[in-house]
Amino acid sequence: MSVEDPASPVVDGAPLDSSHREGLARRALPPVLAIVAAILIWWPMTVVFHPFLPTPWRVLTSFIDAFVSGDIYPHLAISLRRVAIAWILSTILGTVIGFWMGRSRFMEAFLSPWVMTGLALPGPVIILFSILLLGVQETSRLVALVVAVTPFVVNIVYEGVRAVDPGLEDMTKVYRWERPQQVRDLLLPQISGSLFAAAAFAFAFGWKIVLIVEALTTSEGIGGQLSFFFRLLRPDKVVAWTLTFTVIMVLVDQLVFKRSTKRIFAWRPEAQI
Amino acid sequence: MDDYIRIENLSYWYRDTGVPAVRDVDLTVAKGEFACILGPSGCGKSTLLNILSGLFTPQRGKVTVDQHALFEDGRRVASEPVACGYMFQDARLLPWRTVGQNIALALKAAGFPENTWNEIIRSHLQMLRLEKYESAWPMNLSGGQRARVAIARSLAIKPAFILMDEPFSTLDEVTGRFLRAELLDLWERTGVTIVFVTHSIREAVYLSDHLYLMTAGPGEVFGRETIDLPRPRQYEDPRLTEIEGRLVNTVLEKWGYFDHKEPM
Repeated sequence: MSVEDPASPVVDGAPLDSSHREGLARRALPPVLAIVAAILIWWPMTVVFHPFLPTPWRVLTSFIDAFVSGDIYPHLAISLRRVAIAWILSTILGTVIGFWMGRSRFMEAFLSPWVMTGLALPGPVIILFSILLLGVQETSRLVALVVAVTPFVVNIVYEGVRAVDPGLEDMTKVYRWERPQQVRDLLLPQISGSLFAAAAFAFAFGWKIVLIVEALTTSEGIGGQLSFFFRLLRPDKVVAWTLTFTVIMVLVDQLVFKRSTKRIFAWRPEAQI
Repeated sequence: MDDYIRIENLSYWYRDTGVPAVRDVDLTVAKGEFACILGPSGCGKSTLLNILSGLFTPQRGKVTVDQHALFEDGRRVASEPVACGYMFQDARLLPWRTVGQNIALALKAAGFPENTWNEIIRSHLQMLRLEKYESAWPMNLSGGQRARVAIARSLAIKPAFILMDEPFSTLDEVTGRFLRAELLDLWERTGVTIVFVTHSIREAVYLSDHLYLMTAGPGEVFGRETIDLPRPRQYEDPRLTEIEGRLVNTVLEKWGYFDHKEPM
């Protein structure tokens, strides 16, 4: 047996029987009802707020139109690229800083005020200052995104590193573990929860901020187009494009982050994450 | 007598507060001996184990194991590290690694070649009647099973000695009794040297060849008792009760119990 191959756990796996399928139906019902309820509330509101709130039907046609005409694709690509770059940079940067803060008393005391300030700074302020200092260009947008998101990543990772069990660390010292083994088998499994939480948060927060950045600085990207449609008084397009972007981001969040989290934490007795 | 573990004039105080934990401790343990260190909570018995295991460096005194010096006058002596097994109050297994992997990681760190791991893991799990649980997650085991895995891990690395820090104190009475008997059986079969720390007089008397009595903190060793009852012993043996009764009187005075009963 080798340490690298995680053997499958001995867990009494209940077979998938009819009661499981019933359970699935019961679990699926509330979200379906939620969507139906949202549409039921939406429709009368369109009368109240006429002509500024479009009907679901109108949004659906705009939605289809955006994809059929292909208008949305280049903007979607631009926004996704920005989210991806900001996500990668702030996750790496935040993880390194957070880890360092969690392991060193000095770095903890030194960086805490910076992180506190970073956490408290409102997103638009960061965006405005980034543009003032760096001008209206792609770099200033990315810098603003990274500066806005990183403190949150730092904070989550730092808390995770602080929570590392000192008892287990003593055990590894007594058994004379070497450093690489300590990192891989002791530290990483303990902080992987917060690393995942931090990455997921960076993503979720990043795609919200990116729309503000774009709306304030450019007409390219989903956010830029939203402010453009807003000025043209095309609420149906605003809703349709927002929905598209939101659906994609939620799907990524659910499929990528939630799924891999479940797989990685199979060792937890109640893997209900 | 052949002194396998020898502690001379050992003192340790906490670096940040300067509060002494153990003071002027002298102690010798023979090879293959089951030695118990008996002391009240906070008397520094865990500190002694942490020094023997190499976690803490004492400020004064000398520690030798099998004629290799570990510490001398506050310095860690650079020599080949002595393999030591350690059972903590809790099992301290990595919950994200299976039972088998937990032992494999200890073997890897102790420098056993990878192709020997399987056989060592299997034989030790068998010894502790855990062979069914090699690929189980520690969190799916009972407290007693986890303690047995920790015993298996400490034996598997073929240690020079095993340190035990009240390993059964968190278990229920019946499980604790079973494990004590099982531990004695394993000790006799393997001939390993064990230093066992406890605050339970009965447990110490039942387990040990020699028993070291410590004062309340800062701990000093003030007595050494030889328990020469034949083995296997019974936990309920009246001779154990007799020794226990005698020790209680000695110990309570030293542990400061009577201080609290001063007349008002």
